[in-house]
Amino acid sequence: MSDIDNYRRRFMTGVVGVAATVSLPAGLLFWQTAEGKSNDDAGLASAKTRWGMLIDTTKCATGCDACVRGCDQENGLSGKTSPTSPQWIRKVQVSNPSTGNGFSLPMMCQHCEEPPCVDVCPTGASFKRADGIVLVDRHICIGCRYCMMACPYKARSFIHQPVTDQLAEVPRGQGCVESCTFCVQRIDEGKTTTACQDACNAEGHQAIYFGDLKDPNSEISKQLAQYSSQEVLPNLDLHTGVRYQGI
Amino acid sequence: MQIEFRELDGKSNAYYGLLGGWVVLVLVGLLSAFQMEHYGHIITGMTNQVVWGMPHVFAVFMIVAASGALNVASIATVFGKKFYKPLAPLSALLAIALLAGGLTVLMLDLGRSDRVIVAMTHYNFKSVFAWNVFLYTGFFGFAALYIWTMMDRNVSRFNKPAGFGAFIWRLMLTTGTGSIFGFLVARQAYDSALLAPMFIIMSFSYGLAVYLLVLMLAYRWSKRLIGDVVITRLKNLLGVFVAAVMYFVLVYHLTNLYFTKQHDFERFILLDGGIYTVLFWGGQIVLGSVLPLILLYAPATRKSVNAIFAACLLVVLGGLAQMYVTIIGGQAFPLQLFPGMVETSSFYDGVIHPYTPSLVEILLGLGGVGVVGAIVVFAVKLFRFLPESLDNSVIDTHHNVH
Amino acid sequence: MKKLLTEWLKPAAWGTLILMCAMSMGHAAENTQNTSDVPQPNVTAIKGGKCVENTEFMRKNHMKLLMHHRITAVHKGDNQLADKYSIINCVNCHANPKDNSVVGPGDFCQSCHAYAAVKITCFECHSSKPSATPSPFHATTSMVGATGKDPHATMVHYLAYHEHPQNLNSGLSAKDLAGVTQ
Repeated sequence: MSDIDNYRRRFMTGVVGVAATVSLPAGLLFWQTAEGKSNDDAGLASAKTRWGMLIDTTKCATGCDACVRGCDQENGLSGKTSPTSPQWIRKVQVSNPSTGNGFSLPMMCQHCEEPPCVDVCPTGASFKRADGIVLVDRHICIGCRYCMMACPYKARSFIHQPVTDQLAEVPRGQGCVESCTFCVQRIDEGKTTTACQDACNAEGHQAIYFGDLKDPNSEISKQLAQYSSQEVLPNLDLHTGVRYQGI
Repeated sequence: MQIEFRELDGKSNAYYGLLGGWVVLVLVGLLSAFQMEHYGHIITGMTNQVVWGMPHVFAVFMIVAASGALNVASIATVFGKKFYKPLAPLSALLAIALLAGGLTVLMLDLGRSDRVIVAMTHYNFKSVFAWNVFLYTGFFGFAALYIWTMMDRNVSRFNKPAGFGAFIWRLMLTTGTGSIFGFLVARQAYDSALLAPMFIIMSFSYGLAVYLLVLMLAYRWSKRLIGDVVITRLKNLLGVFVAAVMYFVLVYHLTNLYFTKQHDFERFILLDGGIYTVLFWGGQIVLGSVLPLILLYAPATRKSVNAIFAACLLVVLGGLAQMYVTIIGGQAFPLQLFPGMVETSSFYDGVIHPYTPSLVEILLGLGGVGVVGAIVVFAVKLFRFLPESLDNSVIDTHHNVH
Repeated sequence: MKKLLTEWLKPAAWGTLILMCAMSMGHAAENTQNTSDVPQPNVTAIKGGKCVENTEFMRKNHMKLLMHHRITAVHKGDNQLADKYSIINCVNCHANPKDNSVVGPGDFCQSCHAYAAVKITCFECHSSKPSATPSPFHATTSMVGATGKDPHATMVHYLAYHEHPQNLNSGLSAKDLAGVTQ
């Protein structure tokens, strides 16, 4: 090889070597900023609480979708049911083909204790908060939809187009995944009911209980202690926060 | 006589036409990605029920083939078969190119492609996708190192450790790719430990098919000599891999057919799933496995270069069909919230989820193919990836035929 | 080792020098905002009184505040309406009453960001319109008397917002006005 090529080789190697050495601490600094680590740990959501829901399907009326309307209104959803429309909660009609027996129930994110969606999220955007609510941190969701593949309840929706009419309390936008949040914006304000629960009560069915599973004096805990209830897909051992009576 | 490696001349109109063609394909893919990013995924056929579509079919195929393309080099270095040594540099190049193509498609399909940096700085290490960030970048690194040890005499003594490293690494990578699906307990099509080794075997088959295609085309178009000894060895190996894939598919479906709870899913794939049934039997089995085996081994066709070329092409098409059935068919079949019961809802519970691939998705996938083509065509002109001749006389006298 | 020094030192040193020059030029470019002959963006803060922090602090650090508070909001569950640094309260004060937004042309966030050519992605998800729910937090009321600003002027602004004179109503729908005292 000629002297010029030799010189060029050493020049480039020198530049790359120095750039690589310099970029190590710079990269570390950048990484730490991106992590945005906070020292403030005076948090409000704590593990002393676990939010849960109990749905009495014997009171759930076939054909009624008040809970869905309530959720749509609270969270600024369109209420459309096209294949690309987000649905945080839906009414499912279940019937036994052999016996003819049937029931209906609302299905939403089950806020599992061991959520498969949290396991598979590459960035950790899908996470379980200290108080048991499973959420998507839309700041770091990259929209890969792996959590949607992983959810056994098909609870998650992807936003397929730009959103311009979102509510201020419920930010949502194109390219991220979302699901039922147990009305976290209301919970964080100190309220203790979800929109679907309020809507169901307004309709007179009183099929939805919501409250702190770790508080033995909450209405939901008393109901759970007194009456038998089941998870959907109990064989998966996910210990869901949402339980049903009469399924 | 030592086999010499030489860069392609790459000055003919045909060469520039070929390179230009790949670049145009890349640009079309980028345009599609821009459209998806601007208007949202609403312009694709993907929905809340079928969340991964054609881009993922292409991308997973390319990523699986990338790992398998490195096989030829591994046989030379790890298994010590000197016969394959001249074939090794192209193998590593193709591996890098295919992985780059697959990753391009995956990253451009993200709902928020602008957040790829977030994916590289925030990790949830229980997620296969998070491991993949390291597995894929590590694969690039290992393959590049491997190529360096093959091309630079000063470091050729590191060839064996580099080869071993690349081999182990790509087994981890492909296990990860299969486990993307295998770890999903939610879907009846996945949720199986068999998927990881099946993907490994599929990678052997697809990777070698792509390698053989590229090899034959490169030598035909650059007017270099390639003898039938090389082609015969490679096509025999391909036949073994195609048969091995068939075995895994057989075990997968036989096991599913044994479980009563899987019968509905199997009936869907094997009998009344419409496009999925057609693609399984027609695409994956007949075109992708049976026909290539006949072409590769039947006395009438096994010596015909055209037949072998066709067999490789069919394996690739069959592989794409297999990806479609696995990825999209697996999502089209509804989830069982209440096993044994009939479900209906506004969110398409209990019904087969319809999916029609859109043009933007197909073009995005083809854009990834363009990346592969552009990298390979450009690299063989820049560097000495291709032996000057792989003629029988050159191969036979120097290397032992085992 | 000798080979390293004699053959590598000179080219590597040249390369490093050029790299350092490029990096320092890039760094020097950051300081152009302070020179007096550079045009400033036209930023109108709609609400009177003060912001939660002073202007220079906000100019330099609002992005850090947002980065920190998005973690406390999502992961720790801070009450967004009461948190003075929440983006909801920023928008509530800074939205331009003419188009009810912070991202329209010439509006609060957009004017600076367009000038600095930094894309705002916040409002792809966050509403750029003021919240319909009355917020327990009011920058103006909490600042009355505390900062030494003329309390009369502050009250005028406060009343103007809450009493909705004609020119501030444009762009506000009935849904937006619901719940706000008139």
